[in-house]
Amino acid sequence: MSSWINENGPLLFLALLDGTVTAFVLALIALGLSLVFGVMRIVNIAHGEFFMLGAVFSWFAFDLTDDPLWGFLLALVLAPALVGGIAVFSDRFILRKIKYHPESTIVATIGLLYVIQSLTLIVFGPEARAVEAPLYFRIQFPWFGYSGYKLIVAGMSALGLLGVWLLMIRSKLGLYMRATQQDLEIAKTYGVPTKKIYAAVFALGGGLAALAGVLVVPIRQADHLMGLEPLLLSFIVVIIGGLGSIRGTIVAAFIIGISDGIISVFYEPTLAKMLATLFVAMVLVLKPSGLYGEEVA
Amino acid sequence: MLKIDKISSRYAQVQVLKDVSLEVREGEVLGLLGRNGAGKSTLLKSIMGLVEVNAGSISMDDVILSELQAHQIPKNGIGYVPQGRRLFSELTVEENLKMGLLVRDSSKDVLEWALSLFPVLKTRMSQKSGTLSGGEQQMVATARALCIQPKFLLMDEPSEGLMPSMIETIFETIEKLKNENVGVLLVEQKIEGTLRVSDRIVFMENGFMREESDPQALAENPEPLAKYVGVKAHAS
Repeated sequence: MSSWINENGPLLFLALLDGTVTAFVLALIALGLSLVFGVMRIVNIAHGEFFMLGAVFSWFAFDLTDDPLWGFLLALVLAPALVGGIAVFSDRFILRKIKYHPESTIVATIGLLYVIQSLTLIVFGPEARAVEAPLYFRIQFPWFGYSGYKLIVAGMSALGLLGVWLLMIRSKLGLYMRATQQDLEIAKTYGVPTKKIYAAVFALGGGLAALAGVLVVPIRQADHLMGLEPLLLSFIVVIIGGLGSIRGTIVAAFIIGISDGIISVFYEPTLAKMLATLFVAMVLVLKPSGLYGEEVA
Repeated sequence: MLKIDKISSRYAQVQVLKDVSLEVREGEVLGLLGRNGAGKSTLLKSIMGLVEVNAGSISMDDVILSELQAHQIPKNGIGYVPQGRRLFSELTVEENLKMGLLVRDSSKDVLEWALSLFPVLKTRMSQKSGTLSGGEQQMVATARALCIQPKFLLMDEPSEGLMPSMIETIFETIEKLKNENVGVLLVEQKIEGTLRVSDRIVFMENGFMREESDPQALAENPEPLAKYVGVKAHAS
């Protein structure tokens, strides 16, 4: 055992570091999807495109300012706001028009996915574009050096999650969101403007995905097809954690993120995805509502 | 005054209420009786804007409530205690009550007043409301509506599923509200208690308002009770 640790300890540490960064980012993206489902009861297939738009807007900000730090800061503010605006527009003119009907919204958000993807292809082009990290430094561990920016990504994602938690627990908007999630009809009888709450939730969900896109793009490149993988992973996380559960989403993101990091380092990234999918199947069989989801009678 | 003027309401294509008219005055308890499916709960939901009113109007003083969106109606001072309590079960008792306070920016004094009616809730404030007993949940549901500072309170079967001592507490609370000049529109299955606290009784059948009476008259002649509720006799 001790010889295994001596031999593989540094690799395991690297896997845990990478897994933690992945987990925080995944939690940020999946939380948006989970909130939208929890409060609005719709499955937003276009959620990954909001992530992609965050990354693409980040590239534009970088291109505009020609400075990695200023570009990053500009994108950090503007990308979630712009994507939130697009989400509000989509809510008002698509989802509300079809009265948030569960099946119809799946079809509508598939359409939204293709519209956003195609427009991005037209404006941004087909090639992947790199965005420089706003800060570049390495943290030297005894066995290897590690990207300081990746730890900043994890830290800022954690701040984002904390912000959402505070919003939900401490603010009037959060109280109204939770009340709407639990009983839409009774929320109305307590003065909650549920249409505005829906728009706010959809904007928040989109904004969180866009924020993740801004944070991640210096680690990978921006391209118009990059929304698919985070969408699938988010679904895995949200199903495991329990649809609509914030706590479940964060716990599941860590299960998937850390296991992905370890399996990817010691075996193969593809195996990590396979096992994650298998885990989803097991959860669906053993506890269909997810680890922290409400049981449906 | 809460005035319902010849309203018809429907769920999708099903017409449930037909040409219903009634008035509730401040400080008055109006008992609404009828068999299951008579349209009592639909009438309360229509007032709250939860069911489409396709004819007639609902107004309170100078405000036409039936022209407002559902979330604007409680801001005019209409509280609703729904059937089955329907608390926000994952929210704490305190958060449920806060939902009521936020409707009209009520002060802490209002909260104190509501809690004074149900002192046991003071010890439950941080507890998730879904974990309370049925009786305590009914107290929260009523206190939550009272935090709106309602001029009128709509109560839909508040005694449903409660033990006798708790039912008595609910009726005592209704009497206290009457003394506070709150108008109450009460839908109930407990006939005896309803007759005791109500100033007037309205009977509904098949979506129509059939008859109005007063509790004393019903004590002498219980025939409408037998006709519209299926109660052959009642204890006076």
